[in-house]
Amino acid sequence: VRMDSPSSVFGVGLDGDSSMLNFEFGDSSLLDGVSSSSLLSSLSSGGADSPMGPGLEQQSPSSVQSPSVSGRSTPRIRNINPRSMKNSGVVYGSGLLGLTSTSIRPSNLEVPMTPFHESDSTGKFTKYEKREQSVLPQSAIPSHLPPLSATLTLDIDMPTLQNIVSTVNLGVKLDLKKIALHARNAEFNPKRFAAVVMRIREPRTTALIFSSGKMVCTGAKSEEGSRLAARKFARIVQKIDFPVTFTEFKIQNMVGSSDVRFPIQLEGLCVTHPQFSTYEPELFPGLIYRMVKPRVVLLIFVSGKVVITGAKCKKEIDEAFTKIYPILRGFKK
Amino acid sequence: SRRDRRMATYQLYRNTTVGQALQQTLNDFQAEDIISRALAERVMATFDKVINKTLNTKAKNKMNFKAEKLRAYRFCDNVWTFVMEKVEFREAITAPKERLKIVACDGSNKTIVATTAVNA
Repeated sequence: VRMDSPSSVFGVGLDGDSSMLNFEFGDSSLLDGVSSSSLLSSLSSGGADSPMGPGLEQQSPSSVQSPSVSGRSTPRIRNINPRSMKNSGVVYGSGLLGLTSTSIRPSNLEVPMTPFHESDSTGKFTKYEKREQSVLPQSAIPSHLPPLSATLTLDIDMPTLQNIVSTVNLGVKLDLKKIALHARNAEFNPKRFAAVVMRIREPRTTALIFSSGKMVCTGAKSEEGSRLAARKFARIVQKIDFPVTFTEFKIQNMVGSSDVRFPIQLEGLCVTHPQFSTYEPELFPGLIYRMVKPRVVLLIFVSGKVVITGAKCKKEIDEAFTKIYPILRGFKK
Repeated sequence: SRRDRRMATYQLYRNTTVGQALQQTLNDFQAEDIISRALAERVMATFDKVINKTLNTKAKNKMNFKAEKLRAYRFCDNVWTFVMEKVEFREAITAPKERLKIVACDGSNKTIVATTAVNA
């Protein structure tokens, strides 16, 4: 198994060759952002004689196979969604079996990859593959093992970020009254709360600025947005003649939401995962699932909506969602 | 001297038609030496207290308005300041205002002297 294959080429030129079929699972890292379930079924059906057959079901969506496996001649290439790319556990299955396939698959997902253009004839492609076959050595031991947790390439959307809370230290004591008087869109009511509440329109965020110089920034929809907003607030304070510095910026919490698009039996989930779940329908209509790794909290609702919070980075949110999804599927109503 | 038990109220309403008229009259009296300066000041203070109380309790009519955009807001020293654009009043007595600044002081219990609302 070659892991250092040029990752710019995707193994899409599968012409239904039987030898390929065994390794179909790992061959194509083609991630179809809008792929239908038909692709998944083709995966499962095509893997009949694959030694990974039974294992296929568990991690079936791990790589969305190009339809060429089911007999189509031209590979269908869609836009690669960088998000879904991250979820590709492509290398996993094939590596373990010590496949001798050439399979051009991405070993390192961090490397940006370009899709192989449809315009090039498939014949050309297979030639390349055949060349690869002869040139490169086969090794049973994968040089790079992807994480063992089977990540799913989901047909549904990954969670969207709804709120990010971050803090930053401006490094200097502030006169809050002066800030409230000079800045626009600021509130300062020392009797009620000992901080200036300031808002900006772009990105739409709110900041709490304390006299110690520390600031909390909330409401951003992305990590970059939160950092940018914090910088803008710091700039506003700087303009009021305070020697501000932008230090110790840290994202403290991220909230994401998503929809699995099917109703869920919360009672069943609560019974089978008692150590993680809290479900008191009289108190709160959602099930509170405290995931251990990553350490996040998920609010799962009967409608199929899921809220994920407590994450420090987007990766944790996506990871939590991919982990909970198969569990939720099992409790579909 | 006797401890002054009176609490200062907003001198916000001195710059109104009534307040100005009163101030003028008192100034005229002072010029003619009819009353002393201290008395004039006492009259103005009484005016402040009474007009604040009356507006809080007796004035019942409401005014509705709608604006296209809130340009800025501020809350400091218990005073709200709003700057709005394209303000239309419900009664439509006046044409829509391009820019309107509202300075609102707390009507409950006050010791702060504030400036009046202006039409920018």
